[in-house]
Amino acid sequence: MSGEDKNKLDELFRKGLESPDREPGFAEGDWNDLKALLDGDKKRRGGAILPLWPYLSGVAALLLLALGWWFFTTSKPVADNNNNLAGAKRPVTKSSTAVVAQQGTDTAAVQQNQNQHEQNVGQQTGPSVLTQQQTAPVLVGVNRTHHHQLSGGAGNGVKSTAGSQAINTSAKSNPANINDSLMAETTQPVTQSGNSQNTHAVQPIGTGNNAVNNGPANTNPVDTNPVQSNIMAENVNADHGQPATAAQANQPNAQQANNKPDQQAKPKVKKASVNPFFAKPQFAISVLGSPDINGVKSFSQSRVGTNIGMLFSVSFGKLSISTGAAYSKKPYETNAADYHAAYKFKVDPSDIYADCRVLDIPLNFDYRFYHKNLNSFSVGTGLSSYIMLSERYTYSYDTPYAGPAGYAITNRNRHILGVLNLNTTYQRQINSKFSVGVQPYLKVPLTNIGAGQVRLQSAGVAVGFSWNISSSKTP
Amino acid sequence: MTEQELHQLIRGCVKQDRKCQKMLYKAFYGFAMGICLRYAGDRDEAAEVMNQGFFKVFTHVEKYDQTKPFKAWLGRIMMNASIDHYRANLKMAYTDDLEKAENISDNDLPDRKLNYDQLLEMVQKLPQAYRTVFNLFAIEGYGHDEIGEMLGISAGTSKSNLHKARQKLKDMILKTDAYYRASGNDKASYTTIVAINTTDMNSILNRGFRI
Repeated sequence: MSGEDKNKLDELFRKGLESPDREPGFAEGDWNDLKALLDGDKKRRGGAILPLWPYLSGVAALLLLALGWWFFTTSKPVADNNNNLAGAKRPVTKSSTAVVAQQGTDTAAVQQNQNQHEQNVGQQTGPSVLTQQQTAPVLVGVNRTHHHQLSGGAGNGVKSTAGSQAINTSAKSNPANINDSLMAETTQPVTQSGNSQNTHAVQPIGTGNNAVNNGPANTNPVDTNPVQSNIMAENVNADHGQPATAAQANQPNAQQANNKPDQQAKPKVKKASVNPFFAKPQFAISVLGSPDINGVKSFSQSRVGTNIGMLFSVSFGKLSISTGAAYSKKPYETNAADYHAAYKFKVDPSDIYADCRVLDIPLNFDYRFYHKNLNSFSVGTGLSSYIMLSERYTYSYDTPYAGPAGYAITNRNRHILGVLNLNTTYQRQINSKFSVGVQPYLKVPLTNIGAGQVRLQSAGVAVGFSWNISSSKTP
Repeated sequence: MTEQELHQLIRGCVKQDRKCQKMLYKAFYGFAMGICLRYAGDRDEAAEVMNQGFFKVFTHVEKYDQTKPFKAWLGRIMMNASIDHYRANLKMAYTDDLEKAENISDNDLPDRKLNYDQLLEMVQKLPQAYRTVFNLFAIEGYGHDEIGEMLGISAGTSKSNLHKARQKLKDMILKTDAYYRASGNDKASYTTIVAINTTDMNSILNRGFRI
């Protein structure tokens, strides 16, 4: 074709198609189609509050992080400031119980073996010991029993004291030490009792403490309770130096605490944990990756996708809460019956192939039901928010051509807390800081997902590793 | 529609007022459909593409710069919607082999004036890949580099597709001409293209010869 012909041809079509002989007339049906498209879009976009959800969830995540950080940082001064903080906080509980003990009105249930304990202590301690014991709110569980048993235990008091002296020879005339010795008896007798604060240390007793040894107090579960042991030790500190009055013991001041040597106080505070939920939260950051299968309503026409993400978790004992974000590629295949686009197809496509890129923001709760040695298992559930970053749909028709070939949108749909997460996790600790884990999971939609409004579900196995941040702070 | 009325409608569209949207849709339906018809294979496909274009218009109408002509903005959106449709349709795009196109006779273009519907029908008969390139080059006036970028193809492919499109169109024109000659109806709709060229000579000279 010559250059002139080319130009003529182009001009022919350019001029000819510039202005139609008769402009295509407005068709109400076309407007209805567009209206449906617009209505669908408006519906998906939701009300006025919905656009704020991503920001709200972001704020929530930040709050969680800040809260976690606060717990994390505030736990440090407790550990460092052993005497002051510990001394200032704990007496509140102790003093209240001590008052009860002094008034002799305590009828609260104690530990399982309390009766045996009471018996032993009552027999082994005398009234003189008890008078000094009033200053030791620590003995809460133990001292209360002393109080009750006092009247009948006078005769044995001497013997008991002697026994204590046998154990703690360096503290013969010191009431505090007597107190300590008593604690040693009621908790766990020691052979090395030069330092009375260590009387709760675990050592089988020597011969000097036979009387105590024979008692069932040695097997009392209270003795093995680190919390009580700590409290006891602390009370000993409170009494150390001077036999404090009950009031003093109820309100130990900083000065008293400061008088204590650090060596004595440190180990106590580290073990101190009054509320198991907030005393020792563990923080961890995990990186996870997983292949998964995605299907609509079922996995019969599933396609394989991938996920990669990062989670931040806070553990309180066996429970943990985690959040983060994962980038997911979610391809799936479905048919026209399960695909509910706002657009009305004149001829339904036979197959619809979707390729969605999703930002998955989970909020999960886990319960650790097994933990032994380095292995742990947990189950979890929670909700995920899907931020649909991009959606690309390709339509396939049985007929040669019957409708649009595809549809693509970006950043149009958001499903806040619209997906239920179910998972179980196996985790193995590599060292104090790192652990690896495997997590089979299932994601069940609570709402229709994407522009196609499909019940998109996913199942997969995530693998990853976690960095336990808290472990770097606690040796 | 006056400029003031148009801006009023646009303001209503910004507020997602359905009535204003419908009025705007109605007012520019013919113009938008005219563009989409050139890029589409048939009227239904054109309506699909046009609605995708209007959907973009109504969801992004706040971005429209009111100092510039609305028609130009709308036309560009319709063209982009058509290109998007082309891209989405790539898998299904039907392509003829070049050899078949090369076999077309090298006769001169007949001086027959074809009406809008005839020209549109010919363009719509083109395979989508050829049709899109032909529209962008011959009607919109883009160069091959620009077309390549828009469609995600090389400039060479764009040239090749244009060449095939022209060959096919010429073949269709010759066949139409032959049909009219055979039916003895050539006088009625026969006018000289020369006249068109004469009246639009300046434009041709300005545009120059491409390819």
